[in-house]
Amino acid sequence: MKEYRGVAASPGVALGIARVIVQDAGHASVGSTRVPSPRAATEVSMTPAEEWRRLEEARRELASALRRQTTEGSQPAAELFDAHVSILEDTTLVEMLQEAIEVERLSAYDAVKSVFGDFAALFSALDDPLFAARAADVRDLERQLLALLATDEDTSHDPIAYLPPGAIVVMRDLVPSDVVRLDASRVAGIALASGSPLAHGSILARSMGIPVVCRLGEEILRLCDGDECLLDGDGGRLILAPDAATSSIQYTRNPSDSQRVTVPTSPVQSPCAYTADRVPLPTLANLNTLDELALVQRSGADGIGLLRTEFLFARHNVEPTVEEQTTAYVEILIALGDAPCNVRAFDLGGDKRVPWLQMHPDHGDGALTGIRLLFARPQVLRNQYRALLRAIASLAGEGVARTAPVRFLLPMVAVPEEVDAALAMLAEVEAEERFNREAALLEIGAMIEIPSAALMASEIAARCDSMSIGSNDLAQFLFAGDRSQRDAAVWAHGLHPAVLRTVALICEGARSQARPVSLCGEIAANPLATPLLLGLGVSEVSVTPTTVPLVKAALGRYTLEECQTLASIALAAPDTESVLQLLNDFAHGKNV
Amino acid sequence: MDEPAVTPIERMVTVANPQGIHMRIGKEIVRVAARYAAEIRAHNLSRPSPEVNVKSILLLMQLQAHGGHQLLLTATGNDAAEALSALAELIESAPVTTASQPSDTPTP
Repeated sequence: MKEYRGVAASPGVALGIARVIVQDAGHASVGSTRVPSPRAATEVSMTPAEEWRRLEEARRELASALRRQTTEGSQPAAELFDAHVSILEDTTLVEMLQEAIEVERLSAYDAVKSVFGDFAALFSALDDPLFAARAADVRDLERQLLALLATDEDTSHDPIAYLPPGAIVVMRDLVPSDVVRLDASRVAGIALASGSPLAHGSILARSMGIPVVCRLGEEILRLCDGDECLLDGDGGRLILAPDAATSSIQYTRNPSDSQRVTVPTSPVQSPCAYTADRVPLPTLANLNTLDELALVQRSGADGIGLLRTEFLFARHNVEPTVEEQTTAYVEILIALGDAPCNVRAFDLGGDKRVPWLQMHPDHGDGALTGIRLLFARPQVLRNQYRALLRAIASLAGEGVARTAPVRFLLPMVAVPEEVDAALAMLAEVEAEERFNREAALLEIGAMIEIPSAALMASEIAARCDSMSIGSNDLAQFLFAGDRSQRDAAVWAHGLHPAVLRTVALICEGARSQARPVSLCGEIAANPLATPLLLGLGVSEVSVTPTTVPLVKAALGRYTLEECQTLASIALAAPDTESVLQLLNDFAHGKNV
Repeated sequence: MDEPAVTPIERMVTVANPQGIHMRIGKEIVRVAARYAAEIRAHNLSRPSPEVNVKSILLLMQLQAHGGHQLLLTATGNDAAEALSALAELIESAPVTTASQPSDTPTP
């Protein structure tokens, strides 16, 4: 039993088998320094001896198939197949395959990819075209062997998309596109050597209810495929070869663990969370993909607090059409019933990229984020808004009456004038669509994530219907941090007094204009911080679906006044540690 | 076993096959070389090339040897001398044909 300690990034405990995915490798180097290439892509993890047996079987099968063709085909074909058999039986090739499996501990599949890839590269590099052309033969054999080794027909050659059931994915870092490709039915947990709880990959995983632990250190990349391990997404640990006692203790330790939360099957809304003195705190859910819609419905969320539309269409290679978007929004609004839905306009830039929005650093828009990127691509914003208007209109046409608002959120607003400019653009689309925004209960909200917007909160609130604080980005920008960087411990939980004071400032600005403030981000997902947020003046929170029941359960014991007292003490705290201590004391004091 | 012959012996050969060392003759060379315990390596003196293990057809082709190219063979082991004579005979006799395939079609 060996324990690796890291930082918890998504709750839940998972017992499974390691699937190590080395992302930054390739066939680049040949001969002298062989770079280990990505593991995985076979359907079950096996020992090196089993992998070798499997490879030998495939090699024999291919060789005998080729030999059959040498006796059946024409003379040139026979000679070609005969040559292929020679390659397949080449001593150096076989030795290299054996080394790849036994020393580098690659799967049979990846050993073939690595060794044949090396040889193909070796041939391609030859300057005599007659010899260089042999690369194609090597590739051809590689392809045939891989086909034999990949028994399951839906094997994509993407190790992330193809996992054994119960896989604990072990990798260096997790980017959003990885999460989108993950086979959610097979992944039990994700262990990261570096990464951050605030990186979008972690956030997406959390929304899917997949436990994640990050910053476990580079050593975890040396685990072997098939190693049994226990990932503790609550305690931030990875335990290699856990004994039976550890496994069972971990599994029963925390009954409120997200993986085992029993959420009501229906209806969409469970009663709103109230303080002891009946002050409500609507608890909404974040939604990233249509697949998660059922999860949101079962979570008891009071609506969708943050629809991350950029992830909704993350698999698209071209910009989703107005029709495609309309269909998706209709599906979501119907599933939601008469509950509020906050649709954030495409928020791209930073570590969030989609294939269909090419950003050109040369043209100066590589650094653009949020609403400014949309201003640079006005048609993208107009199309999206048009789709949302049509979705709402079509629901009304079907006689679906809504009393809860739909909000269109402008991402990462920096200054009030941006709200003015966006409203002018949106008004044009409304006119074209003959859409009456007030009558349709469509509101425009501003995402407050940039410190300048926090300082201008009152002016921004005056221009729109609501404000939503994205506390992760806000914390990052306050600390001039990098969401993906490792040394974010100071602000990683979003509970630093600097963040809390900024949140209080935004709430004050919103209150001066009588606008509601919602908050999404790490602080919202921490049930200990729920009373604090209410005390700071936040009027609703949005969290991942699996966290909704935890947050809802966190509030009922306190009165609004107690929450406000807690907030005033937290605002005066000197550091994150003090805030954490305060929240713990508060929770435990109330527990007894 | 006696003391193994640790001193490598060398032999220079000229590729007689006009097509050079492609798959078919390469296969023959590997087959002959494999009969001997000696470690046998080759290096193409007529063009820049790596020094390769003659018992591997994939590596042998890295010599990019054409007809007329001069190869330096190096063998280490008890049967090194015999191995080199057999290989020299094969490489310097042109063109290679096999009993079952009397045709002379070049096979790259």
